[in-house]
Amino acid sequence: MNPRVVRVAGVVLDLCILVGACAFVGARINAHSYYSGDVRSCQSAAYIANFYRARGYSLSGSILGVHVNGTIIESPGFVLDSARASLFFSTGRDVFIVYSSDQKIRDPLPQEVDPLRLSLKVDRDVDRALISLDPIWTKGLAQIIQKVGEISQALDEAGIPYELYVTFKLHGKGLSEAISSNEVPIYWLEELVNAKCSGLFMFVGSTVAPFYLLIENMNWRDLDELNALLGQWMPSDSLEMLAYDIQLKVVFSAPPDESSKATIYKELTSISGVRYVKFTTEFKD
Amino acid sequence: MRAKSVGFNPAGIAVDALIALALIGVILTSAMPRERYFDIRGANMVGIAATYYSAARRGYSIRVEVEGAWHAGGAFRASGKVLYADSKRLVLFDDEKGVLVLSDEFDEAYVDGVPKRVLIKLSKASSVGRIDFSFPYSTLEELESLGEVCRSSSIPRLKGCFISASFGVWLYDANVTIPASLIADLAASFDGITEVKTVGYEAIVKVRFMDLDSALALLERLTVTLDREGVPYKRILVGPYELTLLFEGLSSEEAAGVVSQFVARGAERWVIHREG
Repeated sequence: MNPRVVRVAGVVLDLCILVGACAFVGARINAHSYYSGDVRSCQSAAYIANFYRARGYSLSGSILGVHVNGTIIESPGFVLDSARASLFFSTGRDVFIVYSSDQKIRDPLPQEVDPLRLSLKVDRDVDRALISLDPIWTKGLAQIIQKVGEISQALDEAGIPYELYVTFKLHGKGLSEAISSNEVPIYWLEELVNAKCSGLFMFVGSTVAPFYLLIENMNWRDLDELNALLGQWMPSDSLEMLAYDIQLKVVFSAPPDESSKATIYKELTSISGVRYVKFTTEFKD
Repeated sequence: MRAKSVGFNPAGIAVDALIALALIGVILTSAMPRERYFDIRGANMVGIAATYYSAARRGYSIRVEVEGAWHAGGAFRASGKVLYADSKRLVLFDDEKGVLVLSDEFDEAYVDGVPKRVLIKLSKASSVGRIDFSFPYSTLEELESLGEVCRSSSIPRLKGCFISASFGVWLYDANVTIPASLIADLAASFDGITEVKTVGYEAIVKVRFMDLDSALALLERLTVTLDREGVPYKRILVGPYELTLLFEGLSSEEAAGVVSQFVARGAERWVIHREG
């Protein structure tokens, strides 16, 4: 055989071995930064979500499960938040609480989905914005809704479709008095809001020592409904409340480019009461 | 070189035709729903739910036959339509036995029994078997009027009318003498999934897939018990609720008529199921 051909073949073989070795090392390094698979148990899904979210990765995928009202939910979406054994899974407008069916039979929450299959995959092609606001005195939810409206207008400037989820707490002397003096059927209100609005609405405390109301991962379009329900069931003199720990999660349908980000950042930070704006791949506290 | 003559061979054409027919047959049978069944042994609740929803999504009409053991002991056989299934529970409507809640866990008093064998029979759906309605929160009187509609003959071929709702009993006093377990036990004596939470000034009774008349009877029994115990209450609160209607088989026109009747009574959303 021509010695020249043998030399060229040798070089090609060396290159192949080098490329193979690099691929192997690369795959080992990236092994823990990528996941794609199906799970049935939400406990496993929550473990996977916690693992990757803690490392700054987002997870998208799809859900097949049974809603607590008996409807079958089969929809693509993404993980908005995760806890030890549950997930907030958003399909865009709706936010479902996926709970671990490995737990014993228990009383489920109104937006809960019992999963039959959860497909999850690490999604690197995302860019999200986390906005923190200073505490606001609000009559009902009017001031909060106004502030979220301003933020929404600023986001509209960039022209990228988005979904906005709101988390905050409500505390007020009048609210506490109304609850402890039995003017508000608070646990009933909790049921009602959870049935009508997305995300989670919770009363933290007891009727003897009322503490605060928690609104977690609620789609901002549901704030008007929540405001109407609070206005209907709470005495008008107890609607003066302090909203605090306010966080807004913005999920863009496509990652904004640098100029759009700059526009969004400039617009948002010019709004009074905006504590910070952070672009991130995943929402982490 | 000699040119080979090419001609039609009748045997070849026949074989080709047979292959083409077989292919068409395979494509048609795989594309069209057909009678089939799944035989699930043991209390595999996840398997039952997954099989049920998989068939329901494909548009089959589904009938379930169950062999099992009662919670209280003894064997039973039941058959009927599935009202609800999840990874823990199967809620079945049997024409004779009514609503049965089957589960492999007996933690809750409302569980009637455990399935040992489940036969899920699928057939081609041809008519409307179920309509689900969503109503906003309302009053007990409105609920009673819906009960009258379900009892009247204005709804054709109605097999059952079931409610999934939360009821609140708003009391005047906290820490009342009536124990939570009493309310829970009262609720558990009715068919369907019932969950009770008594906290602060309230008792929240959640019912799911309970016969509408039973739900009204439960509320009446609850209020009578509270009155006799001398526990004053402010109001009975009726939350947003879902009404599930099961039919023997409705035509599309009849289904439209039923929908318009309930829309007139305040239904906000509805889903028409052909799979039953």
